[in-house]
Amino acid sequence: MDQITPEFLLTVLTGAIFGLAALGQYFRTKNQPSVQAMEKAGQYHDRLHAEQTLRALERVAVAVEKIAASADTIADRRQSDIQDTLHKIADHMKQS
Amino acid sequence: MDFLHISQSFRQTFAVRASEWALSLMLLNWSIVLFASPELFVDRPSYAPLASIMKQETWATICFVAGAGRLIVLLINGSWRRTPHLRASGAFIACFFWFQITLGFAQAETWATGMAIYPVLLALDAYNVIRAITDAAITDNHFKRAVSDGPDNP
Repeated sequence: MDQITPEFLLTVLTGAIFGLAALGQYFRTKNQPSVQAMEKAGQYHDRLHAEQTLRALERVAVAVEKIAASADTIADRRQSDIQDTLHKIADHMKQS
Repeated sequence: MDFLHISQSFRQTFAVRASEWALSLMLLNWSIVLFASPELFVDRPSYAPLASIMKQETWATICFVAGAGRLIVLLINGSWRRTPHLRASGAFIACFFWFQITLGFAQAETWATGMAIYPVLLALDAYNVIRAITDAAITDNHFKRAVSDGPDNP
């Protein structure tokens, strides 16, 4: 090196500041275990979607109730149909 | 180190490290240009800050070592253990070159087109330093956990 110029000093100063910033980033990341980061992400995700999940569950519950009611109606109808058919057969058998 | 690992690692990581490959190659090309045009620093005032620090031949040699070294580090990445530390160091050293060149062009009376390019290269390598140092911290954490868990519980 021929001489220490202001440009060189500026470079060293900028390099030192940037190097410290890079080291800071290194230790910041190192002291933040990935598990903690994942837990935080999970909590955030849960908070974000909790209300939507609750609404979806309510809709599913209502739909299940409707299906159950429909199934009961279908079963009743079939039962009454079978009873009618049995009565008809019984009547037919009596007549014959 | 085996060729299969290098080939696999290259294909897996090239997409995200394309800028590091490009900037390393530029540094290597710089050394070739400096060797090929020995009077460059004398002819062009933009290179005065570089010339005030070291001779052109020295710059060419350092650029060659830094560029080639960085390319080798990128190529053998992870053969023994993942080494983003070296990637970060390579990018940091390259930042020094880009900064000096940017300073040189900035001091010229009339700005050349280099002023449109070298600051961007500097910013890109600064970003690469931060990214590689973050990778280094994550790798160190994994390594530390693997050592504390023992060989049976990696």
